[in-house]
Amino acid sequence: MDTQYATVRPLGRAVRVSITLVVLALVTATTFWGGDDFFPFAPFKMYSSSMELDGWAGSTRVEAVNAEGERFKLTEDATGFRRAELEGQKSRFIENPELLEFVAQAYENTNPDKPEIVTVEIIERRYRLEDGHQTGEVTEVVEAAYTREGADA
Amino acid sequence: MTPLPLAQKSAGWFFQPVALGRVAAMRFLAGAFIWVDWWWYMPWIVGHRHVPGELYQPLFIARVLPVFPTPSYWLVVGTLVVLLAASIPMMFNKAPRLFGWIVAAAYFEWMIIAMSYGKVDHGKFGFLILLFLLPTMPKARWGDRRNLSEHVGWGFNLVQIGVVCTYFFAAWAKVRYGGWEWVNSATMTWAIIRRGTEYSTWLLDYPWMLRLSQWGMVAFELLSPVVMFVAAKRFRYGIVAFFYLFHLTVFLAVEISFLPHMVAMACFLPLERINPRELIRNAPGLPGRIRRKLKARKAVPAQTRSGEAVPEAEPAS
Repeated sequence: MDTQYATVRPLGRAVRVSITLVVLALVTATTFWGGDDFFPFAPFKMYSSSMELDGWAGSTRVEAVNAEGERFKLTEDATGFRRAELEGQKSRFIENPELLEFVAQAYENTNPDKPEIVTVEIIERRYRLEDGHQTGEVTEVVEAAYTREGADA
Repeated sequence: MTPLPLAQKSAGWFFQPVALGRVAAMRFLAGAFIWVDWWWYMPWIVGHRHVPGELYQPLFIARVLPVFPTPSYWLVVGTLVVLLAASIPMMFNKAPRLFGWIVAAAYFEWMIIAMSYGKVDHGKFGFLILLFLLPTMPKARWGDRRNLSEHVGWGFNLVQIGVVCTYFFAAWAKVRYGGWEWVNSATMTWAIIRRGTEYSTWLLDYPWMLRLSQWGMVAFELLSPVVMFVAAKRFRYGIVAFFYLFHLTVFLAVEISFLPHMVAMACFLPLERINPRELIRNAPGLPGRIRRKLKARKAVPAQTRSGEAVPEAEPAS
């Protein structure tokens, strides 16, 4: 079989180099000025925040109480709504805790056979750090809570 | 206007020819990743079918282009079915360009469904570029090292730029969001508290090592563009191997694998040398071939004159 060498013609070259430059320009722009909103051209901020060596490292979770009075953790698998997504919208939930109703709905859509949820809470567990070491000091704060009206739990 | 020689040379950098065999291999890897993605890597995406639309926070692109409706149960399930169905012919080279476009479009919608609920993940930039460039490349056979193409070279060059940008701009994002003090901050401590493994939790007792690793990460991210300009192939593959080792380490420490990024990065490697048919055909004779090769290696020093430096044998790979 003959060897073939496919070349790109001058016009194609110009178009292709332009595409590359546009992609580069967009990703550069969003890295410097844009935010996650511009996905897929979002700044690559994996673990980019500076955590204080002295301070609190927080870990958020959602807990629910169902109609039978059982308290349990609302995991990603149970709702389809991720912890990181909850953290991303946390200010919304704190401002308007009634939005937690939709987290309860997500749970019930995912688990139609389980007892309904009465209360949903966002809880943050905070670990005290000193000079980057865990001191063992831990506190928990309920940041937002929502109980369905008419529920007596 | 006659182009300047320097301009010509730099334009050549975008179009370094690549053998078509690599296209077949990358199509297979991309399709295979899509199957791994939905049931293992990001199984939570399909979970969004149960999340009420009130928690949907449309991204800029969805607000500007009216083609991304609020995800519903059937939109999520339907997108997944189309994506998986189209990825199979793409993987096995049946009308790969047509199915490639379908896969790229469906996967983009899949990402909109994934990233529109308050969290955007950042490891898929290179992979998305790969999906949109594979359909621009011709149909190809595994192991084709004869046919070279500048079109393919341009495409993989852009994927590689995407991969390198992911590293390089990650360093910049750290400076932007975390400030220069990021390198000395407790970010790794925080990461390990949140998602440490048995391989990494002991590091919490040695914060200086975690800080050192942060310095190392920023240094390697800032240096990563070097891989695009290295002419010596072995050095280039060495750098890419280092990237893969970095991801292995990160995976062992905090269970974040950046798998799609690693798939996109594979286009740095000479995958056109892989021919599955040949591999299978030769598999039964493989132990014998290795034995013969080792024997031949052993015989080499005996033939050299004594006193002459014996070059160290390359490890059999």
